[in-house]
Amino acid sequence: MFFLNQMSTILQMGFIYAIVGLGVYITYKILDFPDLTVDGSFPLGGVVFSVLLVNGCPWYVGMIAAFAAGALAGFVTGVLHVKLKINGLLSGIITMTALLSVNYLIAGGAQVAFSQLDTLLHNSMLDSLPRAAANYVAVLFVLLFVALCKVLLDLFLKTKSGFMLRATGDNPQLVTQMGRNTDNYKMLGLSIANGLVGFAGSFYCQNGSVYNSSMGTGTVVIALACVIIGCVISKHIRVMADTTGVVIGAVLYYAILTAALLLLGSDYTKLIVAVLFVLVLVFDSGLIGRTLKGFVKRKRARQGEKGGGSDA
Amino acid sequence: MLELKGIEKRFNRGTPDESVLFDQFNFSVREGEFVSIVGSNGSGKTTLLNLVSGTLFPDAGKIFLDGEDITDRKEYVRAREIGRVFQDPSRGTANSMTIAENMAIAENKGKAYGLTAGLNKKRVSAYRDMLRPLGLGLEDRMNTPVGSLSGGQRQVLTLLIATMTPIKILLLDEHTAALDPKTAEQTMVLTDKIVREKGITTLMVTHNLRFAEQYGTRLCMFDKGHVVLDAAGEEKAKQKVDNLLALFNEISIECGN
Repeated sequence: MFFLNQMSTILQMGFIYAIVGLGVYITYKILDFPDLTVDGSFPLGGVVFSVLLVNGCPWYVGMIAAFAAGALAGFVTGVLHVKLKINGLLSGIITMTALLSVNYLIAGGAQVAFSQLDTLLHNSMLDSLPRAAANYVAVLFVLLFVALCKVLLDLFLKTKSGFMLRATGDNPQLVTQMGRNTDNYKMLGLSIANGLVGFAGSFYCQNGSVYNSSMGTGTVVIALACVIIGCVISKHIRVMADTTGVVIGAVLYYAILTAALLLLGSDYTKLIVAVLFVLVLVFDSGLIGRTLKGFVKRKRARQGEKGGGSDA
Repeated sequence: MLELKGIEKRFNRGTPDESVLFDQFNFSVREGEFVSIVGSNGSGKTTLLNLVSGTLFPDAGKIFLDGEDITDRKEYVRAREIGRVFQDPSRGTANSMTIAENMAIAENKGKAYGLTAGLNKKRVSAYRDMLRPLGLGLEDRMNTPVGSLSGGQRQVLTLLIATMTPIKILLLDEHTAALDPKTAEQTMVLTDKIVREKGITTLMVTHNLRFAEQYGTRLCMFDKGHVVLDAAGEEKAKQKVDNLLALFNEISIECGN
C-alpha cells in the first residue's frame, strides 16, 4: 500500500513537471534561451487558477486562464529581451521578480485554499472511488493532458511556423535571410513555453487543492534537470522524440527525488534538488563516463602488468 | 539595378577612435552583372555587402535596389529580395535540421510561415533533383542533420538555399575562404554555374585573386573605401593575376604594410 501511494505521487508530480519540462524544452533546447521566467510563471498559473476557482469559475476555465497568464508572462520576458534589448537571462529574472508581487496581489496573500471545490483532480466522482483508485484515476487525467501537450507540441514543431522557431534557435541568420523577423519567433516561443508552465501550475494547485506562494521556488532547476535527463535518454534511443524523453525524464527525476526524500526527510528537499541537478549536469557533460572508463582502463593496465610480472 | 549614392559610413562614431570608411562613396551594379570585389582587410568590401543587406546602415546617402529606395528597410525585409552566403558555413543553414527541412524552409521564402506542414513529403524528390547535379551525394542524405555535413557540403547547400527562390541580387561574402583549396575550387565552379543558369546579379567579395580574375563579368579592387580598379568586359579579360597582385602590393605598401 505504501509503495502504491508513493508510486502514484511520483507519477503525479512527474507528469505535472513533465508539462513544465515541455515548456522549458522549447526555450532551453529549441530557442537556446536561458529562461528564468519559469519560477514566476509556474505559481502565476497556480494563483490565477485558484483565485478563479474560489470566485466560482469552473476548473476548465481556470486552467485555460492559467495557460493564458503564463503565456503573457513569457511574452513580457520576450518583449524585454527583443524590443528593449535586455540580456535574455536578465529579462527572465526581471519578469520572475515582478511576478512575486503580482502573484501575491492576485492571491491577496500567500495562500488560497479550495479543498471543498470540485476540480479535475478532486471531485465528487473521484471521491466515490477508493482512495488509491482515485489517486490513479487522477494520475491518468494528468497523463492525458501531458500526452495532449506533447502531441500538439510535436505537431507544431513540424509546421512551417515550427520550422522557423527551430531555425531561430539554430541559426537566426537563416530566419532573417528568409525575410522573417527573429524577434517574433522568440516572443512566440517564450509565450508557448510559459503558457505550458502556467498550465502545469494549475495542475500543481489542483493536486493539493491549495495555492502556496512558495510553489515556484526551484521550478526552473527541476524542469531543466527533467529536460536534460530526457534529452540524454532520447539521444540514445533513436526512434524516441525529445519530447517523449522529457516526459520520461520528469518521472525518472521524481522517482529519484522521492527516494532521496524518504531517506533524508523533507527538510532536505531543495538541497536534494540542487545536488541532483549537479549530478545530471555532470552526467550530461560525460565527465562521469570518461572518469569511469579511465578508471577501468588503468585498472586493466595494472592487472596486465601484474599478470606479465608473474609470467616472467 | 543596385545603386549606392553618396554613402557615408563611419565607425566608432563620437569616440576618439572614429574612423571614416566611406565618404561620398558611389557604386552601381547593372542587371545580370557578376562583380568580383577584391581588396585588403579594412578596405570596405564586406562593409559594402553589409550596407546592401541591411546589416549596417549608412550615416548618409541612399541605396536603391531596382529603382526602389531601400536605405531605411530592415535587414529581414530586404532579405526577401536578396540572397546571401557567408564565409562561415554554419551561418547559412539550420544545423540541427535535416537537408530536406532546410530546403523546405528555403523554398517557402517570401510566403507565409503558417501552421501547414513544414516539409511537404511530395517535394522531397524535387529537392533530390536539385541536389543531384552538385555531385556531392547529398541527394541520398535527405534526412541527415545539416550539422553533420562537411563545411564544403554545407556551403554548397547554402548557395542552393540562397538561390532557390527568385532574388534580385546575390551577395557572396568570402564564401570560399573557410574551405580547403579543392573544395573552394568546386564551390566556385558551382557558384559560377548557378549564377549563369539563373542569370542572377551577383556581388562576390573574395581574397582569392585568381577567382576574381577567372570568374565574373566585372572586377573591382577596393582600397580604404575607394574603388581603385573597375574593369568590365574586355578590359577585365586583360587583367591577369600578376598585375592584380602588383596593384595589390602597391596599395598595401601605401598603407605601410
